[in-house]
Amino acid sequence: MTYLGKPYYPLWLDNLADDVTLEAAAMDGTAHGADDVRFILVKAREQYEHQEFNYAGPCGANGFLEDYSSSVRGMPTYVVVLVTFNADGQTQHVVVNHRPRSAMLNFSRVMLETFSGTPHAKHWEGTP
Amino acid sequence: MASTYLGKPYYPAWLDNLADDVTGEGPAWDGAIQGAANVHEVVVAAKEIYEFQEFHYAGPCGENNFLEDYTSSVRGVSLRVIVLVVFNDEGKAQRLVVNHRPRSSVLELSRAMLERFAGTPLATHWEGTP
Repeated sequence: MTYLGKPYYPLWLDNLADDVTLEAAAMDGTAHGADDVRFILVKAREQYEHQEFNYAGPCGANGFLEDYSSSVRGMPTYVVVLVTFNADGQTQHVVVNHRPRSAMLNFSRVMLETFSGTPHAKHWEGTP
Repeated sequence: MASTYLGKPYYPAWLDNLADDVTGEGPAWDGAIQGAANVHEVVVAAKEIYEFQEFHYAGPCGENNFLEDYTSSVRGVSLRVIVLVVFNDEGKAQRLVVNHRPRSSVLELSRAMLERFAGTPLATHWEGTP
């Protein structure tokens, strides 16, 4: 996981608000709460075979943007993540966008397998 | 189709300032749409399919980027969208990433776009939508 050739870690992931929400192009519905959102995001990161960041930095007054390329089960996958902070500087809202469509659906299927049999699976059930 | 930001009409100025070799990508299609004429045509078509656009943010993102965050609906299905526009050194829109969510809405839009572009070369981007 690199940004400008150096190791990168998303610090916002360790600073989630208690009532943080997560939405995504590959998901239906919204995940709520720090425990659930962290659990889902950590599992998602485990699916990536690499992450090469093109940009990771401020976006607007209260946002943070990540723009990276990756692959999931050998399929090139491009991702834009928008993080919005609350007044306390904690991560309040996370939106993860995978593309193109085939890669988004591939990722959704992988996440359904990962969370099969758990309450989180609902976000990926019905993926064609 | 009403397009508003903070209660006032909104028009994306970057749409009239596309680089000749601009690219357009997104979760709702496969491949990258290439070139100003094609990207412009696709964005205009999408705006015609949207039933409204209510912008929550439209402004700078980093040094060379512009971000739009809006809600919409397509065929009665709620849609949330984040658009990332990356400008080149000349200030022209070089790269456009349109991120729709949730997944069901992405596919609804993709099907609508396939119908809209059926029989044209651009249809390849939405063919195979489940």
